[in-house]
Amino acid sequence: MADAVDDALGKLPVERVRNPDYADGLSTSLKRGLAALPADIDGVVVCLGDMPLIAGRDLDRLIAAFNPLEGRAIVVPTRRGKRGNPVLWSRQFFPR
Amino acid sequence: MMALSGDSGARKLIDEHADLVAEIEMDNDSVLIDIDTPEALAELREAGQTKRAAPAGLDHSANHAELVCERSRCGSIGGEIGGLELERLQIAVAGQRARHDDVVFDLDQIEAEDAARALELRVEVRVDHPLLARQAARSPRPRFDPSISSLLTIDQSLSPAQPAAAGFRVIIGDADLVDVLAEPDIGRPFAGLDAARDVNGRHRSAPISAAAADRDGDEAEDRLIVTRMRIWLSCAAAAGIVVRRDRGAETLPRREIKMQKDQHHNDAESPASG
Repeated sequence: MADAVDDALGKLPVERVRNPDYADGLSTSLKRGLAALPADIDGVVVCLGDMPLIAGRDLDRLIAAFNPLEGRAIVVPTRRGKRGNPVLWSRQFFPR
Repeated sequence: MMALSGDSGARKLIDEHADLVAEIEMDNDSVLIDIDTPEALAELREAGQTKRAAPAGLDHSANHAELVCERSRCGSIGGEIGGLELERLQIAVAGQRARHDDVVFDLDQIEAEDAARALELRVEVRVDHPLLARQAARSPRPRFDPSISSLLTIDQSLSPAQPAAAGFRVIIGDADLVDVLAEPDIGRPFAGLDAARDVNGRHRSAPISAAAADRDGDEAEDRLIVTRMRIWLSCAAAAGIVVRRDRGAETLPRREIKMQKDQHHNDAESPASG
């Protein structure tokens, strides 16, 4: 599966992190990803692999709203009021 | 997040920090749609939904915009913001000069059964180059304040059933001006409209007349400096006022704004292109 993902990503300049513990749940992948992040980032957008309709402009919108200093440290997209994904998290939530 | 386990837990974390959550209303369903089976993916591809068209009339890459209502009943939309003259473009009347990709509002023919569709209506002002400076309280009020207000005040409501004075309320997002929101302030069913707010309603903050006020009590004003802004309307309904995108329009001149470093807001560091 990881190989298939790798192939699908092709030559995209993204860092890939493998999670051998995937069978233990999504959280294990999340932790792997977080652990691989550099120290100087402000936050992460946790995109789920089964949401192919998410476009860059959707992410841009979340990022535009993100401002931990102003109390917007978790940005949750909604559609007609219903919460969805991906969620943008400030780094302050990583260690928890 | 490192302490989460299993497939859930993030939701709990969000709930625990409700005061730090900003909900952002999206303009499409993508954030709700997950594809769990190959069949569902095939269906999706077949439907051609993987290539989402931008909502009609919306184009984030468009130079800028737009909107002057030529109908007297709507008043004039246009004006000066931050010392820059907004380009005034004519708004076509549906059925007359509306183009295919124009967004059209029906001012005159909204019927009762269309109320649900009317709820889709939203006026959204996007600031391309939002800069926010902290200003001493003694400094003059931003002079664009009344003009931005007039810009967005459609002094006749979008629904003929509503009193004219209701118009639009202009709502400014919090300091980083994620979105400057103009919202029909004409009661139900429009009252539920907004484009962005957080769970405590903080993001959906004061009308623009109060935008320059000292919201956080530190005797400094949140001064909004706008170099360029874009306005669009989106609506699921059809017919009426048209907001026209002018693809050929030249970019408005950008005014140089010098800010002290300590006034510099993060958001200003990555101006949109275009």
